[in-house]
Amino acid sequence: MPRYSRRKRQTPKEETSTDKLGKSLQTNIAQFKQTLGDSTDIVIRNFKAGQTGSMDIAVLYTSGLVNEAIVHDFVLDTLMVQIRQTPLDTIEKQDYQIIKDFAMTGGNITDIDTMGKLFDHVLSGDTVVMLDGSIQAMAIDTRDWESRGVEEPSTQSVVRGPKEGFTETLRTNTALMRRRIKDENLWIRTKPIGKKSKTDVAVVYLNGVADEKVVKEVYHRLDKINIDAILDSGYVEELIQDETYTPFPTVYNSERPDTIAAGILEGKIAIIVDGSPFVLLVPALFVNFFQAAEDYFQRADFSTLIRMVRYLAFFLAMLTPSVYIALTTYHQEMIPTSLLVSLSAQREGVPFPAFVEALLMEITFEILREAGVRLPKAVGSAISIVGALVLGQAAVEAGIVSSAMVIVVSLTAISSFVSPSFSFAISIRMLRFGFMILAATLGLFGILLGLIILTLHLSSLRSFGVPYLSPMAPFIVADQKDAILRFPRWKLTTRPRLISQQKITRENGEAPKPPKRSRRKKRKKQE
Amino acid sequence: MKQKPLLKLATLSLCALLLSGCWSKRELNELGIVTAIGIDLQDDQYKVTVQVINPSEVSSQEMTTRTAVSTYTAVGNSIFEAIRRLVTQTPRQVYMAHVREIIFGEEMAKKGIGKALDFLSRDHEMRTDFHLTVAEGMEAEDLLKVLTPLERIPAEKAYSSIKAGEKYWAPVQSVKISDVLSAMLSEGDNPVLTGMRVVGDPEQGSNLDNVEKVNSPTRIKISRLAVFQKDHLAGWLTENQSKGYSYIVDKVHSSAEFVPCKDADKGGITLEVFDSTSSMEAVVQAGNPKVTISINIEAGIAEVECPLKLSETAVIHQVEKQFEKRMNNMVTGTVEVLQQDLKSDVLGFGELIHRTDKTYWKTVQEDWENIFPDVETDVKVNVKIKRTGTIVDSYQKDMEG
Repeated sequence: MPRYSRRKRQTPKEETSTDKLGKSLQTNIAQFKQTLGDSTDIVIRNFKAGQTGSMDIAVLYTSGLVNEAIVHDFVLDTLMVQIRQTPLDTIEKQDYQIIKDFAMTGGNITDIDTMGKLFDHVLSGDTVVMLDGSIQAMAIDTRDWESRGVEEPSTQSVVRGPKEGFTETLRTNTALMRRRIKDENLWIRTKPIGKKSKTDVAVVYLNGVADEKVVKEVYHRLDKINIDAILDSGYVEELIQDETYTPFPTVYNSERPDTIAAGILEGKIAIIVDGSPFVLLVPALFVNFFQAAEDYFQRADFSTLIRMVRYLAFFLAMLTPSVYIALTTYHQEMIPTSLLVSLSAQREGVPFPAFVEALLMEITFEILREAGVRLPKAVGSAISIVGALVLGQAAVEAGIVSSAMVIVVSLTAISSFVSPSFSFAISIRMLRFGFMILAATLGLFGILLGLIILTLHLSSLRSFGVPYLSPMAPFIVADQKDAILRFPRWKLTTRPRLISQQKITRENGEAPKPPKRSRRKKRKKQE
Repeated sequence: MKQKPLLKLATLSLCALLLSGCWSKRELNELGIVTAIGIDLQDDQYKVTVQVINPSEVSSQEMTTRTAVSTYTAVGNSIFEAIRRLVTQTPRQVYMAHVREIIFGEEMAKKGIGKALDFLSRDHEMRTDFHLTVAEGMEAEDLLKVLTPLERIPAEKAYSSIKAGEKYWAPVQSVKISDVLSAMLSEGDNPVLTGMRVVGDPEQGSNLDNVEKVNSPTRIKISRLAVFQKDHLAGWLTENQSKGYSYIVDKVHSSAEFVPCKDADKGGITLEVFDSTSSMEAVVQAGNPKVTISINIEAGIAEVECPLKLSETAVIHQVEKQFEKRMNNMVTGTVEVLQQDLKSDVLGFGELIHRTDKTYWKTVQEDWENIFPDVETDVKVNVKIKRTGTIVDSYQKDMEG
């Protein structure tokens, strides 16, 4: 039974999409109405135009997706008032072309000849004008809907640097890109993806800089997507990534136009998905997740230092609980005596093994964090009080966990938020539990084993053909300038070798120097 | 699906790793952390005393009426047996990785510590950075019972006392097990151990009120060296002799030396020794070994009570000479005691002669203990005063005038 019903529902749709428009306006409108099930947001304005009122015209648009003022001023007003005196009916058959060429004042007009295209245009915000007796209809671009303005991004905020963020509207986002790179080689190609949602997905790259093979690969992977709907760029990311079974993201995403623009200038390819402020960037490397936008806005020495702190935080977030477990349950001899004494004093009366204690606290923290993200903002402060008091203080005082464990968990929690990329922080948080199990069963040996497996796994990963660990493995000396270290800007003269294989040189770097003092002045001084 | 067998294999082998499941896992609160081990003899058996930390007392902020450490004693045919037998008294497994001090009772030391060292160097749990010491004139058990002020853990007190003593005063040395073994096993060398003694009543020292007073009536004092002949205690050096020993074997980091003024009742001059290097040379002439000990000392003037004009080089030289003489006496005294009274070659003369003249050494090797006392020694001390401190001339003269 379900099979039957499914087939029944699908059949009519397939028929309409390839159906040519008929000559009779009323038949077309009837079919249009029927297919849409008389949806109330569709406006169908049917009227008579021309000197004698003999021309039957219908204007179709979706209320809410169009700028009503434009529809009124440039479509309805033109057709109903301004060409009232034109003897339309005398010219016969060429009415359509005349109206399109001489009357319509819209900027972007497309011809439609099938039912499917009709739906696409009306439902994506265009206004369609249909003439009785014509097998064509014109779609005028009147798209304009309520949307969020350009605001400061909620993730990846900076102290110094641009505060603009992407929005949910594709056009705004492409405009933000254009405003940053006014080069004729910045190519933006859009393609609807999703059988039902028909979401516009734009591929943006710098032609001639981006590796053509990677560009082709991106198109290829996007073409392969066969899905009902794309509701966020996360859908696309999951469908085009190289490896599904890895905790590490192989596609970068950002809400910041400057970050994406910088990536494009390096030869990467951005994928903007309509309806999502998160723009994807490929290929993504391991080191990219440690580079924050602000690294490039601040001085080089400071950025290098901060970047090293991020790497440190990465290891802290991943390994602190496991190292604590390993040391306190297997390698007590490695802890300095006085620290051991104070640790064991704290553990007096704690009922659980260190591993269970750590697991308990980590899970509690994850619950708290998740609750903090999902709960309405007003409840957020209540949650943090409960978290801080109940977990931090009361649990220690009740002797359920040791205070050292609270310190370990807090350090881990804070460190995991240092990563500039949220998607990367998630992978660290997942790995942490694996390492804790290894530490609880095999001690430091287990942790080392885990690190070896992790390194092997990372080396095996690729993002659109580029080794994930480059420029570390394979080691590229020239690209070290912007990996763990951040060299002064005038030294960042080449693009990453493996990402853009053409036009490696960016600029001729020369260190800024104070102007040379002229000789005459020098002589004067000596005198 | 083709790759699945490999994945299965990998998963299985990873699971196999987990089969060992928490092997040798020990939670912190299951450990009795031992900080010091005392070894005595009792009727041909070993009497082992351990000082176990009471962690919550050590790190608690509040005053409690419980002591920071507890001692447990057990007797066994071997040290290991005695330690395992301790479980009959302690609530926790004895954990020995953090042992700071091994203390031998004097009686035990006289009978020989060689056999006991086997366990200490063989046991895998122990680190090798603990100090070996001898309880002077008492059993190690009694010494371990004394509570100490300032440092809550007595063994920790002893450990840092020895470290500080070695660094700033020189008569004590932090002797590790490797030092003792190598000195004991080489012919022509003997070990020394630092001595610890209790000043005051040991019984009172184990009471908590010992540390409740500003001036603790019972204290642990670490001031001199125990000289061993192979593995048994030969005797004790005085504090000055111990210092002399440290100068000879080049173990002085820093110290203070006093010499009286010419006019003895006016007081004296004290030097702060901040560098001392020594070297020994041996020659064998006509079957008679002779050892030359040369010591170079760099020092600064720390305190002056004599009316001296230190701004004059001649005066400085004069002071240097005075000190050279004094140091010479001290070092010669040490050598004499070691040669005549204790008859133990802790200075390593034998080793030195072995290295210089192998053929001669072969002839005396067997009989070295008897030949050592007759070895001729020559001590050369060179003192160099580098600084006079923040004031130059002494103001004592002006005070008199």
